[in-house]
Amino acid sequence: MAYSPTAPEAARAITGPVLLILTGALFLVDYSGGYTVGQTWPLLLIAAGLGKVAEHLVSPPPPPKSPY
Amino acid sequence: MTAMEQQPYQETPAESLLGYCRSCGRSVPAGEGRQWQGSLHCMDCIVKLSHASTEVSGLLDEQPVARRVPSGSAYDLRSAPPAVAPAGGRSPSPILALILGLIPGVGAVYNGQYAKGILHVVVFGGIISALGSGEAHGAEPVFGMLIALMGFYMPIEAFRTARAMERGEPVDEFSGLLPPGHSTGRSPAAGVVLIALGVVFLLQSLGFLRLNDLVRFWPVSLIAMGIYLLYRRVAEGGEDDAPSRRDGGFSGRQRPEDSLRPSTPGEESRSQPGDFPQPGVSSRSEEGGA
Repeated sequence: MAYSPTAPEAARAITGPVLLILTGALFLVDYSGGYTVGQTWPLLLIAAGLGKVAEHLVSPPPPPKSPY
Repeated sequence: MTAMEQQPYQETPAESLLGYCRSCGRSVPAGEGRQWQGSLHCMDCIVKLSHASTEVSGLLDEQPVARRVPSGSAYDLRSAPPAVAPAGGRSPSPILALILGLIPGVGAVYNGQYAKGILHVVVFGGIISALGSGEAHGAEPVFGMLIALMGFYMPIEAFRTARAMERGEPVDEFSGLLPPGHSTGRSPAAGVVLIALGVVFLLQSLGFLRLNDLVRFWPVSLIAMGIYLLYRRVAEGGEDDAPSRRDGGFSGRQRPEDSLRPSTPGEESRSQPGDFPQPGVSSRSEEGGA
């Protein structure tokens, strides 16, 4: 492909679908009689946080001076 | 082919195609487009828009966009200003945005930021349903504060976005109130906070942790946040040589390390910041128990 995303962009791009999958899984667990979504929703927070941290870990060191 | 010829507008051959007009969606041949608010417009739309705003009519005298921007290239994402053209081509009024911002999501939608509007609605509704579900288990004051925070955040955010659009500054869809470039992962703090919150709520909802006991100490988070902000400001002040900031810094710098640590359990942190409002802590603990 002509355009290849940088590592942080890739991490960000993965986070969204993973959250969606996790949401589906939580509801599935709820309806099949396990933990309710009311109990398991913090997993979404944790997943989002992990995504953020991963984005930070794979990003190159910032430039010395911000362009903004 | 015959249907094509009957249209008043002629399709541009691919080699001279510059892009597509942001307003009407028609193809724009090279040498005919104008850049406005970071996106390409055809001459017809620029002329139309120029009646509405004097800012645009200045573009009529400018050089047309000659170079074709390859779509999907790195240029597109990084250096092109991510401006959002407001509906109708006119920049939104900040005051109206402020008023509409009181209704969850509407302020952002008025600014043309639909994804942000949906996000606001979902967050606001989520907080309210968390409060109403009765599963907050003593964290009601926290959710109440979050609602108040959203109530202030949404109008102010809509106001600032509208003002930035009015000035013609680039507006990122998810910039929020933070300066652009802030969320590029320079600090993992946001992620760590999310994980910590998630772990606490999970332990609580699975019954391993009584949030009731912990919620009494929620003012500690305000103190911790204040100390962190102080620390960061002092650290920044240390980099530039601001002497007035620096001597205020050392007294502040010693505090964060020893008082941030015991902020999760209660007892020590409660006794340590003794000069902070004690009545707030005691009144809150009564509420949490009730």
